[in-house]
Amino acid sequence: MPAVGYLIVFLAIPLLLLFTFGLVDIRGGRVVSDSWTLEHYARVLGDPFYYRIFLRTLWMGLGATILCLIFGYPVAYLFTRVGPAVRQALLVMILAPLLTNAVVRTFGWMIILGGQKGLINALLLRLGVIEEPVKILYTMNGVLIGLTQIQLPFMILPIIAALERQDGSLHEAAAGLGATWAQTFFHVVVPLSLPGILTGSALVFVISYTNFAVPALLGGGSFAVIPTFIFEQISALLQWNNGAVLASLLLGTAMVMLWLFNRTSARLLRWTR
Amino acid sequence: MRRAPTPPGDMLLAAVLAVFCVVSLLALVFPSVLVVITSFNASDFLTFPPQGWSLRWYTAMAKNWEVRQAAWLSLKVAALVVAIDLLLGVPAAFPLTRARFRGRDFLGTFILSPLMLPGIVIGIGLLFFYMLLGLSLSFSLLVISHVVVTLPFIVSLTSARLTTLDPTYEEAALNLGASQVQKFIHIVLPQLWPGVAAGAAFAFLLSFDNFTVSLFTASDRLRPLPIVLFYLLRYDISPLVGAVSSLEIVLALLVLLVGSRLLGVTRIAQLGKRVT
Repeated sequence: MPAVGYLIVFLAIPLLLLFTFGLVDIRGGRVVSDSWTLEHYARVLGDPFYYRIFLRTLWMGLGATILCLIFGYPVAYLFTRVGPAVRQALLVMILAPLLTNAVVRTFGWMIILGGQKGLINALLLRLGVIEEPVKILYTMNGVLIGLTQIQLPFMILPIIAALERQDGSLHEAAAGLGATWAQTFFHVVVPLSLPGILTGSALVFVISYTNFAVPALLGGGSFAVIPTFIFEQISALLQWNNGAVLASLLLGTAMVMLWLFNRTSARLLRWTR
Repeated sequence: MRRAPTPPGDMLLAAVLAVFCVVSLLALVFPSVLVVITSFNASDFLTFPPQGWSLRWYTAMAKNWEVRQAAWLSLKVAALVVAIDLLLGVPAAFPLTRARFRGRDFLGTFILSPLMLPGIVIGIGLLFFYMLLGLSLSFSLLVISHVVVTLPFIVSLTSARLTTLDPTYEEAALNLGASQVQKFIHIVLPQLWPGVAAGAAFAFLLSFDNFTVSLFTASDRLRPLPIVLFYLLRYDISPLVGAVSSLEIVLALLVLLVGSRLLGVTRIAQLGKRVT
């Protein structure tokens, strides 16, 4: 298959290169060492500065995941409770942002969160809730709000799939045994949808954890997370060794998190059957 | 018959769920609506609500050389990317769905893997690869890079359609004396094309909108539209961006419309789950 050949050359080899470029010396785009070295990994792993950025990135990924879960679950639940016409409308609302350019969607949030003239500040000032504009744009909160909106569809869609698989007779059985709707929701509906929650969380986490556009625009120039830091190292400073080590660590840690999510979801799947 | 009073717990839960639903549906739709509204703003700054209406930012966009160049470049790249995707992706869908061989599942996962891998990692890997080969970033390298991340769409949508085809039609055609080529043109293609066309529409949009891979594989002299937008926003929030963004939103809605006509909204939602 030509497609496989294409992806071996332009996907597999570049990814292997990415890992090896952290293990050799590179200057001006050329490999200048004739043997392997762990020096670049040692430098990055020995510097507390990088731990701080990694922790901030991790928090960015986990924070967006939790927010997406809290705000996405009700929408997914609503979807399974309405008729076909409302379903179509909901799906368009969920899918349209997915197809819109990330930079464009982020721009919308810049108008809403922006400084003194931003929508939120203008509104709160006029209502007299605050006297000074609050700073949301160019903070972690702004980044989390933007990420949550952009990744919401990735959380909603797998949860819808999990909710649709549920056997309605279980809900009736719970009601028949005297459970209130709220009890059924927390003791039957939510636990049975855990596999969907985990699939959605894994997706949202990996995309948020490795996202560049949102922290670069909503976080502002001095907001450093691993993806923005890598971009600076590679494009502006030409520190390819550093860039390669950090990108490998970013991918590696993302894979470990994915593996953890998968393992948990495999266990839960066995339990829900 | 008297209905039992609703338990307070149920009412509280319903209220909480409703509030969260309203907030997230607003958050999903409102930013795009806002972008479109402010693009008709008459003032020099981005203010909401706009103080006066005009089309000045659309005329400014049409006159802006950088934006025009970038839009034209993105269109050319996306068109070429779709052509290559179709040539590589459609033939790959057949063995992946119909042939039985060892490692088929592995190959399928490999072809779809660009959907799961972070774009930033793919972009950096490609940049390193080109530099190691001594190539300087160019139009063709940008096209090659975009094919990597859009190819899975054509393969997965074509495969999805292929699995729904009834093979007895093809057997009948062969029994009636059709050649393999005739069978493909007259029997397979007419049934397959909605999947292929929807895949092409999404691949086009994905290439046109691609940001992260272009960030590393586009040279400073050849900047596609999303990169130009990014730099317009990063250093100074120009209202010009609103006009360009509105056009992009319209394009995305068009593709969603075309896709749902071809496949139905539900199938696109299934696809969405696999996209990262």
